[in-house]
Amino acid sequence: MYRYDEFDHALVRERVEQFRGQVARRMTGALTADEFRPLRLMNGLYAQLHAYMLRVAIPYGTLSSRQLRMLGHIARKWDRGYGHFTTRQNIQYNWPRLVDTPDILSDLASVEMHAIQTSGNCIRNVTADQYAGVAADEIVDTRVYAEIIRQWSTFHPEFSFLPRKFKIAVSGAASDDRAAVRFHDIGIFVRRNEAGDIGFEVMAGGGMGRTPAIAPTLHKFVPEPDLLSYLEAILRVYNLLGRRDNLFKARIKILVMATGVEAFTALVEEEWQRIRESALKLPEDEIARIRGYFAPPPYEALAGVSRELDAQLLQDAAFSEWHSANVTAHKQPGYAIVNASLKPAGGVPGDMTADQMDAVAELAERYSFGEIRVTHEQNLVLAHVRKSDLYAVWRNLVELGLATANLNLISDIIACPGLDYCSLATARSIPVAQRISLAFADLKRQRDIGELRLNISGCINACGHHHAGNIGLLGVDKHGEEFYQLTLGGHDGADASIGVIAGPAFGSDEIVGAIERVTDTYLALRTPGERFIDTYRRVGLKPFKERLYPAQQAAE
Amino acid sequence: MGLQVLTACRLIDSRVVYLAHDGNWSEWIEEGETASSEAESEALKARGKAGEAANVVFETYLVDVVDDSGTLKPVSLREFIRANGPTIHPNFGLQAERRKKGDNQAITRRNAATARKVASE
Ligand code: HEM
Ligand code: SF4
Repeated sequence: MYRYDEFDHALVRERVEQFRGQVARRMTGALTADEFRPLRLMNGLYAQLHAYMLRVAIPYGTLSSRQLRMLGHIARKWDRGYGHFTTRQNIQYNWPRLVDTPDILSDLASVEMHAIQTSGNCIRNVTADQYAGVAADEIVDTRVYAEIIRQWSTFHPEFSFLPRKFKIAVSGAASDDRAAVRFHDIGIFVRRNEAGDIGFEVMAGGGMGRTPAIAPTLHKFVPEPDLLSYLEAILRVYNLLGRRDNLFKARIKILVMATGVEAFTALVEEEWQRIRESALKLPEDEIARIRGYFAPPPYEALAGVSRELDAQLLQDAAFSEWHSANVTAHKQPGYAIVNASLKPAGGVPGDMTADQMDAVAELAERYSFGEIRVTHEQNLVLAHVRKSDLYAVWRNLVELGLATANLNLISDIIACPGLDYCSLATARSIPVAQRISLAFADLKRQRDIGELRLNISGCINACGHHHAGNIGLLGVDKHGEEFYQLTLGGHDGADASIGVIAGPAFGSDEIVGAIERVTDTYLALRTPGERFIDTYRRVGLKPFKERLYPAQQAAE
Repeated sequence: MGLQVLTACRLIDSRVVYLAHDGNWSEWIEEGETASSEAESEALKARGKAGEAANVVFETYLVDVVDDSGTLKPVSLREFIRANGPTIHPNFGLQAERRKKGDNQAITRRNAATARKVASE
């Protein structure tokens, strides 16, 4: 893992002390609410429905056991005993007191963490594929480049007052996209060309919100040393031309759409050629130095097959079901990647108690080289578990309530905080997620439905990725009542697509039934082995619409 | 005009508070001073601004409520959730406190009304 050097330490410490002073001045009134607002946001402190909310960055989703323990400690000491992992690989605390935040930030600094880049119109916490460095299908370890981008973007003086927030995601799998990169302001696929050189496919102008967009590719192969100059060129064009007059049109996606992809790419190219041979060029030894931080842990030389595991799989059906749903192939023989589900039936997606955090930190220490990953689907990953330890890890996770065998199934729901916490919400998301996961609690039924991503947002800002859900739900307010608009066909893989609104919104008490009609329709239409998204793409919206709105169809 | 109470976020922790009849900021809506005329609402707003100026609260505004057999109930779902805590995690501290307190709301409200009446006599 990356370790802070003395400059990083000094920077973060200084920032905490600055904020301590700002909080003190706010309390005496020396700073007004309006003056203080941007300062607290720069430190990840929002004001939500019931209390302040502190958003802590987990750069590219990687945590050490020591850090996770600290997150648990903070939840216990300064909050209400739990935290919420988000789609942006952050953790949010829902109840911190203003006067305690400097101490919380100081606690975080002691384990090389902070809340910088979690708010405001800057380059936000960079996100990445949660299987970076371990996935069997990986081309290059993305963490190296995510870390380089993090260092370049942190406090970048030119980009601290962009027209709007700016989100970058990196993925390194050969054919998969585990970081929803095409839904980001900049998305990056790490590639290798035929000569074996590393380079980057760079996309820009993707996003969710009220105008969802899939990022078009600007450059198919930016050579490795030019990564930062190319990113800087994009940011410069955006910083100069992005709209500052209208909040809803300020994101880069609007600029790319308005300018046209070709013209926008040309502008970036022009700027890039100007700055390409500058201090931004990445020297080979610097890349190697960063790569050193992400050297593989000291794996044992093991056989690819574990007899012990094979026997346990035969003996224990529940273990075997969990294994096929939540365990993924590792590139190192004898090891596996474990997904710990934060989506128990009836639970709050992404929420974790302080006790669970402590226990997982301990598990990671014992079985996974003390490392934990956070996923944009709001789950956790133990990235290097010996196959022969899987059974023990599973038993522990079962006890902790973190072993629901539902990865990528209908109850593996992404949900934003919604009206239970969020001051921008138009409806609740979490209780709907709870009702859906209870309705589909039978794992056999879920497995039969197969891979299906259901995402829920509590308002049009789309923090819950509903546009990218195979089934998406958007909470809306109709005359003071909660309604849910249903979209179909969204997808966040390498072949990303945006969901299409199926028809009029459903009332809160109708929504679970509507989803069951969608899955029933799919089950009746699918060919053997066909995923929901593929069936939907083959048959289109019509048959689903007929089932969802029979009266309306009859009238037409 | 229906009933209104004045709400705010408390500066120190941004918790939801209501301007109470005794001039304090209370975490419990049932202790909120009610206004039933434009003039009373304006008076509440002015007292709220004073609270902002004194750095005790921020974001003060009026909330529509109904008197539901002695209990003050916000009209909108958003304000209902603000008053009662998230509708999830019933066991996490605040929500539990609110629920328990909620059981006594009607009584507290009547007490408050009585207290006010006594004070004005
Ligand atoms: C509770 C406080 C939150 C607030 C006030 C908030 C605010 C917003 C706003 C205003 C947008 C729209 C930006 C735009 O369209 O320009 C947005 C987008 C987004 N937020 Fe949040 N959000 C919150 C929580 C979350 C959480 C909990 C997550 C993760 C589960 C999240 C992840 C995202 C993502 C992925 C997007 C869409 C990507 C984008 O267009 O930027 N946010 N948020
Ligand atoms: S989608 Fe809306 S309700 Fe949900 S967290 Fe984002 S801003 Fe809040």
